[in-house]
Order: sequence, then structure tokens, then C-alpha cells
Amino acid sequence: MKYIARFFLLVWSLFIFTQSVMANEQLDLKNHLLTKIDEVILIVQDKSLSKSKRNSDIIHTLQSIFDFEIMAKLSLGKNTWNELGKDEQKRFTELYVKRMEKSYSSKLDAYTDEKVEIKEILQPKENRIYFVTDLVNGGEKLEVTYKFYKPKETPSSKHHWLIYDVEILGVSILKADSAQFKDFLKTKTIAQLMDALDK
Amino acid sequence: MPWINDKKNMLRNLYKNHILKHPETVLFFMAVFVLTMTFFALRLEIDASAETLLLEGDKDLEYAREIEKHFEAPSFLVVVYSIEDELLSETNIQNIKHLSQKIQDVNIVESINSIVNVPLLQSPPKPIKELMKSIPTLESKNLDKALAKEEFLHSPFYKENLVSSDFKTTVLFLNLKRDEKYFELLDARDRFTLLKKQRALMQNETDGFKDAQKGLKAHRDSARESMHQSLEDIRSILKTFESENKKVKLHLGGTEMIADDMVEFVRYDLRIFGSIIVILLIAVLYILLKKMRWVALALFICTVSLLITSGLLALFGWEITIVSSNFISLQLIMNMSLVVHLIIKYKELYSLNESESQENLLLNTITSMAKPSFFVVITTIAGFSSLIISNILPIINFGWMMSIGITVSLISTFLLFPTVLILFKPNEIKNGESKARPFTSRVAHVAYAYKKTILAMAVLLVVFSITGASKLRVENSFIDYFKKDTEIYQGMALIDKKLGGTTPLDVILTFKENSDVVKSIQVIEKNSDEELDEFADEFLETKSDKETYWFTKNKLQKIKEVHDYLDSLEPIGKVLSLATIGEIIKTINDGEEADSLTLALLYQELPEKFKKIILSPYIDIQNNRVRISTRVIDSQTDLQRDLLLKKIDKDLKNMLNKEHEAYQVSNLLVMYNNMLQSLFDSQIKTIGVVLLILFAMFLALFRNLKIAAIAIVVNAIPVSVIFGFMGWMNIPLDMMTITIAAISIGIAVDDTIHYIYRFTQEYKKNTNTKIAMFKSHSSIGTAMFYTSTIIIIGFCVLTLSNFIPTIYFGLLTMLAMFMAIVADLLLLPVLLLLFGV
Repeated sequence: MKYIARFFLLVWSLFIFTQSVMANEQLDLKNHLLTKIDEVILIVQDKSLSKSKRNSDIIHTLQSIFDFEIMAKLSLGKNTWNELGKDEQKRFTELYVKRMEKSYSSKLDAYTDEKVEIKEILQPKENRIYFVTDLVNGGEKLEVTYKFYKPKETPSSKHHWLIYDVEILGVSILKADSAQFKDFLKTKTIAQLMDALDK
Repeated sequence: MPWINDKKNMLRNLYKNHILKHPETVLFFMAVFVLTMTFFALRLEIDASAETLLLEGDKDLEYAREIEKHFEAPSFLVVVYSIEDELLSETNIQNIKHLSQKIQDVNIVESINSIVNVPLLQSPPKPIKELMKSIPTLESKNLDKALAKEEFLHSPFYKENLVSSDFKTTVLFLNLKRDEKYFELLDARDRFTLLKKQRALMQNETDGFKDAQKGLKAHRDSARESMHQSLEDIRSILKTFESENKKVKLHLGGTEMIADDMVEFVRYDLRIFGSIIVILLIAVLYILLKKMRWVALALFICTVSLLITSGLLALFGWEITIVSSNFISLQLIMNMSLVVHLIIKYKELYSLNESESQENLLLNTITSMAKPSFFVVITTIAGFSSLIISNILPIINFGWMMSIGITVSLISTFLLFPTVLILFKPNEIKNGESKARPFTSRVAHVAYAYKKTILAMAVLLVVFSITGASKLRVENSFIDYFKKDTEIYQGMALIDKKLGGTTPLDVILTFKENSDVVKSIQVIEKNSDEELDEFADEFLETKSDKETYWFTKNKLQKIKEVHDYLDSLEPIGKVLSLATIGEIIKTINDGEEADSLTLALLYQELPEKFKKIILSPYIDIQNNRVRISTRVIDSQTDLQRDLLLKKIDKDLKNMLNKEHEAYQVSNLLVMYNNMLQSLFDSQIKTIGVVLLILFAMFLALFRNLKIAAIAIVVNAIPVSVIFGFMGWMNIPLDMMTITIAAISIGIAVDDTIHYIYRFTQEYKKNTNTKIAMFKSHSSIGTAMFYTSTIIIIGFCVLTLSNFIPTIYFGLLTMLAMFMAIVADLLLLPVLLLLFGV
């Protein structure tokens, strides 16, 4: 009996321990995310910056928290991605980042003085953390979810948790891109897709 | 030919020993029968709904119904609201709101879209995410009306659709409730129809089929009634509103209303012109026959025939449609012709031997007229058979109606004429007759003296006909059915000119599913990538994903291409599709095209009530297809609908990649065009066949190749003149006028048979063609001339109608009749004189 009780105690404490490690990890990540958001907001609020400087600064700031490469891979789909040579994969990732920059630049223009509030943190798997946030402007809220994953290896320049998808009101940027590319590739080649992204 | 004599004797005996022996009994049974039929005749219905004109089993019709269901694109009526003042004044907004509320209470109306409640997406322009939080309408507080006006005038959605470009006219779209029960009943019936095509039905299935048909018809009847009532209610609301607001001018429009109005026009014409024709017929009959008794007898027989036929039609459940609306007038013509021929023959026999007994006079009249009359009837049926081979139900029914009608006329004429007259003495009808030389004898002189001129004229007529017929157009334009001063015309013209056209035409674009799904699975097995595999579950496409992420640049580009192409076509007015929303978003988005994320957000977040107005009618994500909805400007002169559809088809084929996109052109314009083309094909192609059948019949009747050939030539001329006339006068062949070919053959053939029959009889007596001609002209010629005159005068009344198809029908029937009598009294004798018997 004693052994059994000890065993349970051990399991229980192990559970508590992992929970607190997880909680710590979440807290750490949350702070990191908020810092990054603050950094971005600072850049956006700095009206002295030119649009292109502003955008490249933002991308630079986000580089350490976004895994653009996995986003590029996922948006293209595993099969298509694997069909590409190393150079092509590199080029595609660059183009993907460029596209993100372009497409969200106009959305940043509309930024006024919204605040970000984290309303929920979810951890569906050991290596996934989702931050459900509200972009608050006056009484109006816009729900944005940041989805993190923990890669097996991360370069030193990056955080060990990285964003692989963002959902706005439940609409996934990645899925939207993926649908876009998939549809494009139905009728055209990957080279044409890259040319289109390059425009 | 002994068998003919045998038959003649048989007929003579039948009349002598039975019919004329017990005329009261015959009349009594006839009376009972007619009364019974009258009881049924009261149930005869008129249905001019658009549905009756469409091809049974037309795939495009089924498709259009399916589109209506999946795209939330209900049928609608429009109320055109015109005002001289400022459209966006507070009073006006309140007025439109008030009017909408009143109309909303009408039974058939589901919802109303007007300037008051449509979403304003650019007043002022805001980023999508802000716009989604609250979309303003004209009723929102603090709305900038100047901006709203700009939006109405320039938004691709609203300009020349909801408001006119001069901002003096706006439209209230009344979306009609979808009649689910009707579609259920239709499905139930169609299931049996399909089953019946595959195998013979079991007893219980046959009963089920009958019930389904009955149920459908009953429901359709009540729905039609309720539609008519609702339209009346709406009209009365509009009228009251107009009287309260003097500055506002309202018009009601929409295809449902056109159909209902056509029924009303047909009803009105049947009622008013039916009675005027009868009065005129009485007058002309009296002038020509000079005795009230003859007039009464002719009218009595015609009335009895019409009652019996109407009763039979009601029993068969055949409805009077817009096509068959003329059946009463036509039966009247043919029956009148049969009776007048009998009267003239009777008078002729009487004048030859005044001491002859009434019984003998009647027996001789009946036996000598039975054969030509019988042939007249069966050749008329042959003439109408071209209608029966068309696959359009109302046209087929019209063919049957005429065939039944003329058969009924033959029987009732040959029963009533002798049984009524036997009750009178012959001398009672002698008074007032004059023995002056009939007009037709003078015509005979002309025919004899001017043979060459007549032949030359005939050749000229053929040239006129061929050149005219080559100009013939097949066109179906609703707006051209109404005179310019009618309210319905003005309403339609206004919608056409200022608000983007009337007749709906849709292009449905289907994006084919990716065909390389199978290939992908195979690749997965080969390349394993742990990191990416881990995400596989997260990125599996769910059903809701399919909807949210449906909007891709590729698709939107294709839609825009097709949209812009359709918009570039001159006869097409307003074009609405997803590309329209794309355009609006572009203006909100600083001129940048909406990306898929924006559209996905829009689709997800747009409130349902606005989605129904700007998104749902144009997209069916479940079936991966979009609807590019257009309206065709019906009033555009020289619009060639068939060519337009063919051009669209050809261009879309070139524009789209059939491996990835499929398209289908749909909606009312396509269905009417199908109907018309099929009608044209069956009519024009079978006219040759009908002439051949007639030729065979002439051959059987006259047993003489030469005479049969002459008869065909003489009959072909009036028909070709009709086509030539229509071509030169620019009267298009449409669902109404196209039946005129069959009608004119049916009419023309009668006189030819009567004349040749008489001519050959006279020739047998004298073996002299000249004498035969003069005798025929003065006897049967008079009857032919009388019947034609009666009919021509009677039918000129129709030209007073407000309904253009009725006018054309009157005009063309008069012309057919006139050409037929001219050909039969001038050309036919000349050909008989020249070529002999």
C-alpha cells in the first residue's frame, strides 16, 4: 500500500512539476510575445519612418518569433515543397516573407491606437501554444490567435517557440495562403507562382 | 367507284332511317350531352404562366430551378419608384419605408431590398475589419447622406441597378417566397415520370402518378390564384400610395407580373373580342345570307360545337394557354365555314328544284357535302399535326385542341344541320332570296380572261414570299407583346433603360475539384518529413474550411474575366457577381484588390441579412460554383437573343479552361430561347412534311396526281405569303406567330378541297373545264367567298387589341384567309384550266 501511495505521490508531483514547467514556459512565451508586439507597435507609431523602412523593421523584429520557413512550407504543402530544389525552397521562402510584408503593410496603415489583450492561453499539445488575444480599440474587439510550435531545433537567433500561423476571427492566414497556392498550382507551375509572388 | 357509292348510300340510309326520322330524339340527346359538357366547360382554365411555355423535361429548366434553390436567388418583382425631388430626403426615405412595410404584408413577399435597408459599404469607406463591426444602412444614425448618395450612384452594386444614374428613380426588389410545396409536388411527379420512362408502372404506381399530377395541378392552380391576388393587392397598395403622394410615380415589374398580365390580356381579349366577333359575324352572316334563320342556325351550331369542345378540353385537363388562346376564334372560323357551305349547298339544291321535299333536300345536301367536309376536317388535322410533333406541351395541346375542335364541329354540324332544318318546311326559307348573279361569277370571268396576268402575279407573290421569308427573324421579346402606351410596357422600358434590363440571364461557373488528389497521397508515402507530417492533422481541410478558404485569387480572377466580358456585351445591362463585391472592396482597400483573407473574413463575418443581399445570390461554395447574374435589355431594337447566347457560349468556351472550369448559361432567356428554337425547328422543318401529307391526302381524295400537285401549289402560296409578309413587315416569329403557318394551312386547305371537289363533279357532267369553272364559281365559289368574307371581317376586330400577339394573330389570319380565297378563286381555276383535270 505504502509503495502504491508513494508511486501515486511521485506521479502526482511529476504532473505538478510538468504543469508548472509548462506554466512557466507559457508565461515566458507570453512575455516574449507581448514584448515583440510592443516592439512592433513602437515601430508603427514612429511616424518618422518611411513605409519601406517601417516594414523591413517589423519583419526584422518578427523574424525571431515567426517561423516563416515552416509557414512557407505549410502554405505550399509538403508534396510541392519537396519537389523544389534547395535554391528554389530558399527563393520561395524569401518571396513568401516579402508577400506577407506587402499584404499586411496596408493593414498596418489602418492601425491607430489599438491595445492587445491576451484573453486565453491554450496548449493543445506539448509542443503547441496558442495565444488568443483581443485587439482592442475603444469598445470594439478583434480576436487574433497566435499559434506557436516548438521546433526540435532552433537557431540561436530565434526563440525556441515560434509562430507558425495567425488566425484573425478564426480565419487562418496560413490556410488562406495554402488555398490560394493550391488553386494557383492547379493550372500553373510553381515557377509561375514564384514569378507571381515576385511581382 | 362503287365503294364510294356504297358509302354514300350507307350515309343516306343512316340519315333517312334514323337521324331524320327521329330528329327530336337526336336533338334531345344532343341537348343532354351539350348540357353535361357545358358543366365541364365552366371549369376550363386559362394558364399563361411562364411555366406552361417551357419545354417539358427541358434540362435548362431543371438546371434553372436548381440554381434558384442553391444560390438563394429567389424570383422577384420590382417596384420602380420615380420622383422629381431629392431621392434621399427624409420624407422620401420614410415613404419608401412605409411602402415597403405595406408590401411586406402581402402574402407572396418574403423580403424587400430597397435603398433603405441595403448595406452601405462605402459611406464612409472603412477598412474591412472596422466595417464588419457595424455596417451602416440609410437608417443608421449620423449617416452622411451625401456619401450614401455617392455610393448609390457609383457603387458597382447599386448604380443602374438600385438607382438610376439621374438619381430620380429607385427600385424596391420584392423577393418572393419560394414555393417549397410546389417543388416537392413537382419532384414527386417527376419521379413517376422518370420511372415511367424506365419501365411500365404498376397499378399502385399509376395511381400514385395520377395523384401526383392532380396534386401538382391543384397546387399550381391555387398558387396562380394567390399570385394573381397578391399582384392585385400590390397594385392596389401602389395605387393608394400614388394617390397619397402625387410626386411619386410607381411601376410594377418582374417576370411573374408579365406572366400574370399576359393572362389578363388574353382573358380580356377572349371576353371582349370574342363577343364583338360574334356580333360582327351575325351582321355579316345576315348581310350575306339575308335570313335571320340561317344566322341563328349557324350560330347555334357553332355555339354547340364550342361548348362540347370546351367541355372535352376541361375533361382532359388541358388549359387554354397563351398559345392556344385563339382556339375559340379558330374553331368558330372553321365551324362557320362548314355550316355556310352546307347552307349554300342547300340553297343551291333548293333553287334547282323548289318542289323537292325538305327531307330529300337535306339528304342531298348532307351526302354531297359529307365527303369534301370530311376531307376538309382531316386535312385541317394534318395541317395542325405540325404542332403535335413539337415537343412543347402547350403547342402540342393546341394542335390536339384544334384537331378535336374541328372533329367536334364536323359531327355537330352534320347532326344539327339536318335535324334542326327537318323541323322546318323548305318554303319557309325561300323568302328574301335573290337570284342575282353572284359576285364570284364575275371573279370567274376575271380568272378566265386574265390567265397570264394571274400566273404572273402568282410568280411575283412567290418572289415576294421568298425574299420576305429570308428576312424572317425568330425572336421572343416580352416587351414587344405590349403596346407602347400600356402601363406594363412603360414599366419594362423604364427598368430596361434606367435600371439595367429585364430578362434574367445567368452564367454559372463551376470550378472543378482538384483532380490530382490521388497523386498527392502516393507522394506522401514516398517522402516522409516528420516536421511537416506533424502539422498534417491541423491542416486537413474541414467542411467549414472549404467555405472559409474558398476565395482564391485564381477564382476571383476568372469570375472577374467572365463578369467583365458579359458587361462588355451591348445587349446586357446590369451584371452582378462576386467580382462586384471585389470591386467594392478594392475601393475600400485603397485600390488594392481584395486578398483571400479579406474575402474569407467578409464571408465569415458579414451579418446574415446582408449576406443574403450581396453574397449568397452569387456563390454556392458547397458545389464550388458561382453565379454571374445579368439582365438583358429586352427593349433593345435588333437584339438577336439566339445569336447573343451562341456568342456567349463560344466566347466562354475560348475564355475558360475546360479541365478546370465548367460553365453553363441559364435562366429565363435561355429557357425561352430553347422553347422558341425548338418550336421554330419543329415548325419550319415539318412544314415540308405537312405539305407532303397534304399531297398524299389530295391524291387519295382526288385520285389524280396533276390535281393533287395543283392543290398543293395553291395551298403553299398563302402560307408562303404569310411568311413573306412577316419578313417584310419585320414581324418576328415568336411563340404566338409561329403557329400561324399551321393555322393558315388549316384554313387555306378547306376552300381548295371544296372548290376542286366541285370542279371535278361539274367536269364529270360536262367535260368542259370552262363550264366547270363557271359553275363552280357561282355555286361553291359563293360559299367560299361568304365564309372568307365573314372571317376576314370578324377578325379585323382583333387588331384593336392592346396585346400585340392578338393583333398579329388577327392580321395574319385575315391575310391568310384573303390569300387563300384569292388563290382558290383565281389561281386554282387558272391552273385547272391550263393543265386540265
